[in-house]
Amino acid sequence: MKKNPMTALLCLGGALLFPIFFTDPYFLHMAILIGIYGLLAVSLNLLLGYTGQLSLGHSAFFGVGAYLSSLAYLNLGIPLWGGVAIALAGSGLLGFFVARLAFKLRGAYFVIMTIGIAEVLKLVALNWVDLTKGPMGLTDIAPPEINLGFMTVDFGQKMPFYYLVLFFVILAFVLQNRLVNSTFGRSFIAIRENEDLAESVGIDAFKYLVIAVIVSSAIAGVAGSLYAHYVSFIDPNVFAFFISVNAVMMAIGGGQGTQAGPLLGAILFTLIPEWLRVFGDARMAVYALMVIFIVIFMPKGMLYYVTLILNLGKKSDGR
Amino acid sequence: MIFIQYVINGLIIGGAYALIGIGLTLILGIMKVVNFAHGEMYMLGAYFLFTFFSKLGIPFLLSMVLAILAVMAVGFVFEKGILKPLRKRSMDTVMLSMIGLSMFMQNIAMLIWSPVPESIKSPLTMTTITLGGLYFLPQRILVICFAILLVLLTHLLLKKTKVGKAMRATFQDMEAASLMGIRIDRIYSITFVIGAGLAAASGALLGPIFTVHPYIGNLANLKAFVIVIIGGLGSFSGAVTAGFLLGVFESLGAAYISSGYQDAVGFILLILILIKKPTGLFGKVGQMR
Repeated sequence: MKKNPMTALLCLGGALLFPIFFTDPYFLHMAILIGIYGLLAVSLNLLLGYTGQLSLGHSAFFGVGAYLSSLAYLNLGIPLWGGVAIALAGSGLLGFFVARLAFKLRGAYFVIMTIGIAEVLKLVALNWVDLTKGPMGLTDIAPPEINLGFMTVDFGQKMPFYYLVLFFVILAFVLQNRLVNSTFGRSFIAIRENEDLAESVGIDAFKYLVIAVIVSSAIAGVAGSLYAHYVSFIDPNVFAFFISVNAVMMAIGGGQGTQAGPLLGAILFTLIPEWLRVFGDARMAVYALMVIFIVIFMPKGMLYYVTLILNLGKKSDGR
Repeated sequence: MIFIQYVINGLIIGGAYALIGIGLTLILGIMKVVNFAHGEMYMLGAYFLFTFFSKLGIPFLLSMVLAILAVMAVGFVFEKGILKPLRKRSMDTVMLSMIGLSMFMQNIAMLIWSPVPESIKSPLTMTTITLGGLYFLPQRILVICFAILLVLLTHLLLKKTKVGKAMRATFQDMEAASLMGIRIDRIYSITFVIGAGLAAASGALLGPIFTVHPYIGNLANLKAFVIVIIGGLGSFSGAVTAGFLLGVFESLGAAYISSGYQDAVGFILLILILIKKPTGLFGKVGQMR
């Protein structure tokens, strides 16, 4: 994307103008969900795509963000803005502890740790009824309003919320861009490619992996916070394994280790479960087959094929 | 006395946990496959028992054996159909494919058996045996006997037979074993089928004690992984010990702390182990005991 400022600007322009051309509430709803899950996919990609560590429990950070900011709103009256900050800090802190523990060993351990954390948090959300209302879930998490003097922006409306989510997506994208092109990003990639070699040139792999998890989980927490305030209702299912798997599919299906890939993946894998409704009860079975197919046959992700097609077009134009 | 009762109940469930744990540790240690579809073998074991016994009326013990054999056949098909073509692919690719497979199987099970939880009315749950103030359900006695029997059989298979020797050699060094003329592909298939059978046995044993639904594999899988990590990756005796430990701690946790958090006990054990001894209780590199 760095090499392609034109494409980036085009995408940005398209995203900015989207609500003007597509006023259908359903389209806007899907666009908002794409943005929220896009944040989650970007956060996961930082970890999976750049450091090579797979988290299958990203719903833990998403869910903690959602619950923390909801509880802050319902019990303390803190609106979305504060909620996002609380979610960012809370999920980041959780990420710190998980990483400190899990990266004593690599690979499968981290995967199991992350899944386990998500499961335990789900149990806590189900059983700590005094705080979380258990399976009943938390309701009436209202989106904020801002008074600009001459007008009031109500983020309960879909269009303002769309721009709010878009703002956070752009923020995360820029953060990712700065991070990836810094010493951090290069260290992440070095660890992904060969950890022993990275250590031998003085990269503290443990430290960088922990940092990657903290940043990643903090962004996931923000996504959870936005989700809670958008849907205005959450229950222990925000910790569902499916959310984690779908986020992984967004990162892989879009293009892991690329900057635009996860966002492309978020578009695909927010829409695909919707489209698969035509299969009725067999919906998730078809989804599972797609997962297997993409993992085995398209590990480079859609972005790879998209750029391939775009470059083909360029060459024929040149001649 | 009630404390002893809890410990014994825990040991009984722990026997079944040990079975699913050693299945997973064999597959992970020998094939280097992080098998996320392992819990689905457990689920299928329970559902096949339900179909054979509750639906078709085949005698209980025969149904159990048939269920285990049927799951082993399913395991064989998966090994040849999915894992074999992926031998040269990265561990992550295989792991994610197995996650896809696990979701696929859960949803197919939901289509076949419906999402409504079923209970298997074992003929062995009708009476209670009282012994020195302790209560035993015959079904639970069956669980522990069957579990110990299968653990011993697997142990003998690994230690005393030629196939077992080849499996241990493959675990230690796949390439060297291959150079010595061991047919690795065959060892992988045998390993996966045995692993699937052990998970199915676990499911068929616990099915009549708990309820059966398409998603029981999720928790079973997570517990199996906890057992494998606590025991030490690839350690047979570690998985057996960790299985029994998990059973006892869960039983005590449910009794004295909160039954709502029963399923979190294993994970807390896992965290403690990772803090104190990250390689697991019996974890030694390149050793299978």
